[in-house]
Amino acid sequence: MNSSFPLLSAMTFAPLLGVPLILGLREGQRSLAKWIALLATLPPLVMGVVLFVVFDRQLAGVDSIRTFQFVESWYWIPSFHVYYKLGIDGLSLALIVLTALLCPLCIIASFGIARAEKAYYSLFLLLETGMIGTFVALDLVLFYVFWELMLLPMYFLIGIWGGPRRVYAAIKFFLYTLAGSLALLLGILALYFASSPDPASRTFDLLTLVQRHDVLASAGPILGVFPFAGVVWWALFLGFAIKVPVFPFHTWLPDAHVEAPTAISVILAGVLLKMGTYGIFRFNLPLFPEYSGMVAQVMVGLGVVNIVYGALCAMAQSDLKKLIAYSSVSHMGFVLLGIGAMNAQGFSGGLFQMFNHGTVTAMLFLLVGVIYDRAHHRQIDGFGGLATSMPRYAAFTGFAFFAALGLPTLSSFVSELLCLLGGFLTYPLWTMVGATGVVLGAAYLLWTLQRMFFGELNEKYRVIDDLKPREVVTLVPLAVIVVLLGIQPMLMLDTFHPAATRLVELVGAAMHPLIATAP
Amino acid sequence: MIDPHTIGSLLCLIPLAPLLGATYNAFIGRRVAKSMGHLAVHGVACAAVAVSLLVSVAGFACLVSMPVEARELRQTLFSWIHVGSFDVPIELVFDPLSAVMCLVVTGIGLLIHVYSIGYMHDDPGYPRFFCYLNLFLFAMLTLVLGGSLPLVFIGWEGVGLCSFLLIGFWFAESKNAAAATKAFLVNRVGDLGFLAGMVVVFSATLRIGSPTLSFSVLRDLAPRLQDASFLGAAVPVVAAACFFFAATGKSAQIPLFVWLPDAMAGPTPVSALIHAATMVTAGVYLLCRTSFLYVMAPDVGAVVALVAGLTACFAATVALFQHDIKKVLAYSTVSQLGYMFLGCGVGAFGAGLFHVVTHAFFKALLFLGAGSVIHAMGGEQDVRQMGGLRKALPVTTATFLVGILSLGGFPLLAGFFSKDVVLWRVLASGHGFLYGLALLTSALTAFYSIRLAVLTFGGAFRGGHEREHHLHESPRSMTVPLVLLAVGCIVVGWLAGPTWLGLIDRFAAWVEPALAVMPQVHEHVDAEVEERAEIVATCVAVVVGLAGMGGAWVMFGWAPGVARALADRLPVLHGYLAGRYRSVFDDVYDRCIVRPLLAATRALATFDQKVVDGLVNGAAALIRLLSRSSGWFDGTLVDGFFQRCADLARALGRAMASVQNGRIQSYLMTLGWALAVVLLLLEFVR
Repeated sequence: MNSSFPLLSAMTFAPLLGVPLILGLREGQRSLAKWIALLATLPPLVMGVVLFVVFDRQLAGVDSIRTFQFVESWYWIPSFHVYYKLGIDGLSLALIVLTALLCPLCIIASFGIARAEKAYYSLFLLLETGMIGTFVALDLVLFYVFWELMLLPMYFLIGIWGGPRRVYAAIKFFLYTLAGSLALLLGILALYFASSPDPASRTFDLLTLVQRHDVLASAGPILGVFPFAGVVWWALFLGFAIKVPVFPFHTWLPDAHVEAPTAISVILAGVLLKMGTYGIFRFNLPLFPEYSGMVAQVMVGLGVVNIVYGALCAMAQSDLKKLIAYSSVSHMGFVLLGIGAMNAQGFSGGLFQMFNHGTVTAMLFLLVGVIYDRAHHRQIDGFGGLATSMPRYAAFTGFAFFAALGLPTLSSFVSELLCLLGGFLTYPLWTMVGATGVVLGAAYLLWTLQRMFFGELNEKYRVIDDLKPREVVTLVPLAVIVVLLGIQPMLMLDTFHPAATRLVELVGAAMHPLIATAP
Repeated sequence: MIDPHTIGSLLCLIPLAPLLGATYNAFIGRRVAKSMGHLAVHGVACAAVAVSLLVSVAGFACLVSMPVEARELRQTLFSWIHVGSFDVPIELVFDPLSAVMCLVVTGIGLLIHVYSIGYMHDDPGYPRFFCYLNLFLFAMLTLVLGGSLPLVFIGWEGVGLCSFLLIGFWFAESKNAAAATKAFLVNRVGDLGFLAGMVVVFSATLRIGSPTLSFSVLRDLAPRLQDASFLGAAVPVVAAACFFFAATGKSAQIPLFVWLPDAMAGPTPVSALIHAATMVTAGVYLLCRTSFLYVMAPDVGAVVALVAGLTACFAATVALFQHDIKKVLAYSTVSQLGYMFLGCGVGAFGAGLFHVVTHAFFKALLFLGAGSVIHAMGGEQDVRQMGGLRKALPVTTATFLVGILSLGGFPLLAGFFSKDVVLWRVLASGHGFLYGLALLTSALTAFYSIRLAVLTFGGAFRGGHEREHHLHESPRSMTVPLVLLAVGCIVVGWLAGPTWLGLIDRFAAWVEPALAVMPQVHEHVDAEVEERAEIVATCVAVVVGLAGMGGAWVMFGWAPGVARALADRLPVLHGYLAGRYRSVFDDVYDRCIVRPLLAATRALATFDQKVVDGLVNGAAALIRLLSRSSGWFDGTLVDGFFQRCADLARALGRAMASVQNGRIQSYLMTLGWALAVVLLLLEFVR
């Protein structure tokens, strides 16, 4: 479907319109910055909803430009075959909607920021452009530009508005991710040079490259010894794995989360982590279907390690925000498990888990922010009995925790079930180990709930504000979505299905015999 | 004549009405109650349950009017999850099995709702309580109506959630909150079994080409699953074992029963509804629902029966020594659940299910009676502080006694009939050891039942004058449910015959079409011989039960000194049995699982921080070192070289600069000299 109006470009760059307005504010008008920022994040939200409604749920995308939707394509740097090419399919739609949804909520959650607001909101809007751009770009160079564009505002947002150790956390985040980007860039260049022996027909166009995946598979070894597919696959994977983050590349995450301001934690966990798994879906699988099939078990193994290791580490944390950061490591493991399963259930489950983790973990970080604003600390054992003095806060936190531990009728249950089911069909033993994460998750979450909210009330917090309307406004939309998608998950699963099926077809034939029988 | 289609399309009301009630009390009830009082809360809650009950009764009547083999109502709402071959519609099925469960759940649920009006009257969390209670009924009814495994799982986890919320209802006490967490976690361990069973069944059906998780399809497919294998074992065996493991969590059997005694921290109506009458029987229901798997896996059945027998006996021995009135009943529940599983394990699913029904009546009655006692005692639960309550609480006493006698297996009361059927079926299946165990358990049950009744209501009051003055019978809203349940205890047993009195086992006839039948192992015995044997077995059971009751009465009622003397004679043994004995499993879990796990998490977190992150920081430090040394190299050697060059250039420049001093005379002089030199040179060249 080609629409005449460049919806995706509009969506990507609309937030930037707010930047000059904010920067142009005079000293006395600084308080207007947040409202302009909020206004600037609304067009993408509206367009996101439009996309979600209009999106044709029959078209697969993935490997053929004809089945992508809202495609825009212009020459950008003709001499290097670089296009400005945008388009979405089932792999990206949910993530774009997620980004468009979280950004306004995060702006609202940032209303308390009282230092250099103009810079804060400008950087935030730049960040949104980078994020949406990453999900819609179909040209490798363009993708890389957006990918890097995101890093910069993130670095400043953590480094300037963060907690006490913000500089350390910001630099660690920046350098770590940059190291991944380097691998990614090398991979992209390798792809370009391998795309065709004839320099004139080399390309950075993702879908052309995907169409030529057999050319890539048979490309000559790098440096004469290292198989091309293997090296490039792992280079791309490394770039994405750091973002996910996959064990053992996850240690930037707890630091970044703990130091980042609330809204930035939400974006970090809600959107940025998904770029890693999105990259695996978008690049690794379609570009190297055969090799992906060969290393599927490795991904399942990494996923299971993420699930169990993340959960065990979470259980030992005394800082609430760190606990939730580790829970992200655990929950993103389900996505890897789903990818490694290499079947429709696993892929759909993984894609759905990305969205659900985005909404649930956003709630969790927003809730952490609420208590930190009031108590100025996050030590789980430093509270106690809060349900007595903050009943509404306790109710929302309880809801978010049960959503995170995958209670049926809430959205995460469906995606975790699909990941486990898909994983079980191909790698039953690995998956059984991963399934213990379901119990461990319940353990650390309920234990936290018990220590913070139940028992005798900590006298220090006898008088403490319950949730304010502004905070409720940020939480309610997410809660509604969590319930809605728990009861009617087909609203979302429908958008994944053709893409997931197409991926299975691409990867399938060479893989486990079960996949061939599972349509 | 009731139209099956109409009733079928109303099925969703059974779970939805309580859900709406819960939603109402979660968001609106509290506000309306400010102007209208408690009625605005419990009125809606009770009405919601009444709607469920009415639809269930209508559905039941409709099933009765249908021919036996067609007794099933079905409502498909929408597709819940549909990904490739994995298709789970929201489908409710009302067949004889779910009908029984629905009637029990909604019927007893309604009585307990009414009872709670009085019991929770002064609690500030009144709307919250009814919200949770309604939510529980929604989950429980989804569990029993769900037409496929994932749907049952929704209910299965949902009741776990409500159990968590209600055990921790008075969350300001740490003990209650800890009990709630423990209940949910132990249940989650069991749920893992459910999940595993579900995926095993799905992958097996996928492999034979007709992927499904719907019970009705699975039941027809079952014979074809016999040959499928998973990790070397037959699929029915693996699946049956997984589901039984799940059941040990929800239905409190060894090894996962440890949460139930602690769960008594919740308000007493909750103990009656959730932790006695309904939720804890979900495991038995699951086994009945998947009975087609168990008949193909007799070995698993034997394990079920053995575990159940051991649980029944162990829990009964613990109950003998408890002083907390609710704890006695809690261990008794564990023990009685054992009987239900014992029935299922030997293939007598109908008998197990019948015990579910009778137990729901008498145990709900006992808990509500205990609640009435606690209410009168101002919150006291220790029977050592009670005694002689019969005078102040006549209705409670009378109804409690009916419940106690029913539990103890007194002839012609509900518990007697159902337990008798289970015992007989165990004997008939040829499990001599298990029969002995079950018989011993029934003696113990009779003993602790009478002990509890005597200690609570018999003798003189031991709680002091102050308290005695305040003793009072409970309000009407609490006593009416007691009386109704007591009537139930007297009546409901007759549903199942007994056949040796020439009556028909209506219950079996009703429910058995929905259950699978264990293939007959033994050669057919003459019906007349069998009937005679059954009468003998019943007589044995009666004698054993009466002996247990008599013994308790002697020790605690007739000659109260006997028990004391016995305890004094064996202080160490008695101290253990009355003390640590009941938490023997807890202690083992604490030492072997909880503490090592916590230690492991701490070790891992340290590993993560010191080693994994240490590597990252180490790499960073290494790069800093490299950059510093290359900085030195660059600054001292590379830059040094150029620095020297620059110095040289500067020196030269300085030397040259002296020439450019800006004085026109010296320039002219230099020019003159230069001109002279050039001319001279030219002269030479020429």
